[in-house]
Amino acid sequence: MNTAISFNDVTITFGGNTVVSGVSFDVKADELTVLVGRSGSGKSTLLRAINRLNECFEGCTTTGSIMVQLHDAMVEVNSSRMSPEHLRSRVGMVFQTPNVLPISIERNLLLPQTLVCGASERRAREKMEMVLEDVGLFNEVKDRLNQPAKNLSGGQQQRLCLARTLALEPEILLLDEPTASVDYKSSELIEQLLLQLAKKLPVLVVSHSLKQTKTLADRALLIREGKLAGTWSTSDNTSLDELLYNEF
Amino acid sequence: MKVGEKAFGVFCWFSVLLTMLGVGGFLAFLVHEGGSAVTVSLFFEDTPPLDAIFSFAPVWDGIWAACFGTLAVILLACIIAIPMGIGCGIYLNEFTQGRFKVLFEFCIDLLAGIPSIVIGLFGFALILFLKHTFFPDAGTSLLLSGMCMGVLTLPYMVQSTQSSLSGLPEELRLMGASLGFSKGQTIRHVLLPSASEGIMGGVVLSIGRAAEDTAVIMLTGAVANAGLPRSLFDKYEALPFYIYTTAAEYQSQAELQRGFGAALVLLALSVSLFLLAHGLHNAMKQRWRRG
Repeated sequence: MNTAISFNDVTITFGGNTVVSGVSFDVKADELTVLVGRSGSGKSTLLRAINRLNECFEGCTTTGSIMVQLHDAMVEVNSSRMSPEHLRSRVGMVFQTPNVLPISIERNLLLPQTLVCGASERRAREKMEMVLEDVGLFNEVKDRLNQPAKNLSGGQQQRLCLARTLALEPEILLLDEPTASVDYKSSELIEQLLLQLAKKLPVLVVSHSLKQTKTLADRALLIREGKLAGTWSTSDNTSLDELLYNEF
Repeated sequence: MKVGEKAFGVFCWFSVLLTMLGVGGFLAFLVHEGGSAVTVSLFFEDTPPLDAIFSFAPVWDGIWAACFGTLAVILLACIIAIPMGIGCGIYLNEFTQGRFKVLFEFCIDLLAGIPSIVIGLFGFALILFLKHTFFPDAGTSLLLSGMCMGVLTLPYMVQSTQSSLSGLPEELRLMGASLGFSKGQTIRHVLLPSASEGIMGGVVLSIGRAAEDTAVIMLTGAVANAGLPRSLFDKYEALPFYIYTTAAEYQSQAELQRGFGAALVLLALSVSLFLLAHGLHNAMKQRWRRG
């Protein structure tokens, strides 16, 4: 089974405070992996370490090795030869709160493509329609693509963010509690989308919901106080409840 | 607690009322005193307006040359202060931290606190120095006034840009980075458009300050009856200077009325420039939103 992401003895500190300590695990390419744990356990920090987004915060230091599979080869993300911009365009990320740009729906999807991939207008528009279809948003927005993206509902905005990330054709997809700020129906819709996407590319989701972890996870990694406290996989004989019994 | 809240509400309401009354009263006074003086003759006196505008025919007693001079100084100040101020604001907020940032911010605060007469004196001293060293032909001019006015208005642009950028949510920066944008792309395509309202406030303040300041231009190139400047190195007339000299030396009520008329024109000019700036801003914002 291919490894898409590999953590080896990773420690992350912010201004001297250790947030993640000596974490090692692998994420398989054909599985949907869920990082699960209580708020403040270090899940999001771990996720941001994969696309080096922690570097945007002052005083962050990462030690250990994080390898990701890009262009069919395992590469070290913290290597000096790896540009953070290239890494982040290949390792897509969706945040907890929908963060659409205060511009039109279509421009939210076209701008990253033209800036990051250098896509032509025609190609970017084709891709836009494709990813809007993929996230089930095309029929809802096709007649108002010029309207501000902020006018969409929270769930629609989150799906737009997912579409914007997918438009860059990432090789790995990271999601930081993607349903935490949307309603129940949107949450279900996004979960179904993630299950579909996991068939095409490696997906790593952060969640603090037991129900969501049960719905999504092929593999679950329990993070407690910045350390890996346990793992579970569908191939295990134990149930996920056993791993998470004391956490929720 | 409830009484305190109510009192605070009344205080805020009263503050707004007083401000509105102040502005309204000021405008009414200006219109009353100078409204009747605002005629074509105030601008061009006996010179045919079309000849003055298109053929640059000399206008000896009207304020046409002063309007032109004021517009030219504002334009020069904006050309210097807007890009430099935005650049400094971006650098301060996005690229520097620690002691250097504190030192830089202190320098900007210091610059903001320098009285305009001191900046005018600096410009005058600079031109004297140049005259006695490298450029014997150097003299006070439109260019010197524009540069000094640019320095005077620079802190408004720096501070408005910096405070607007620092007020943006951190998620915007993270979002740009997470999509693979470079820092420059995030600033250019995400942060600056999002902060444009605040930056626009700085532009309006700069235009207003450049339009009204008299101390700087008195020492750096504005004179009475200079006519239209033939180049950037020429002396020029300016509306604030005209208003100042008229107020100080008027010989008749009619002359004083012309001074009030010129003040009304200066106000109208500033408001027109604010509207133009807002129009440009709205057009840019629409373009950014729709692509």
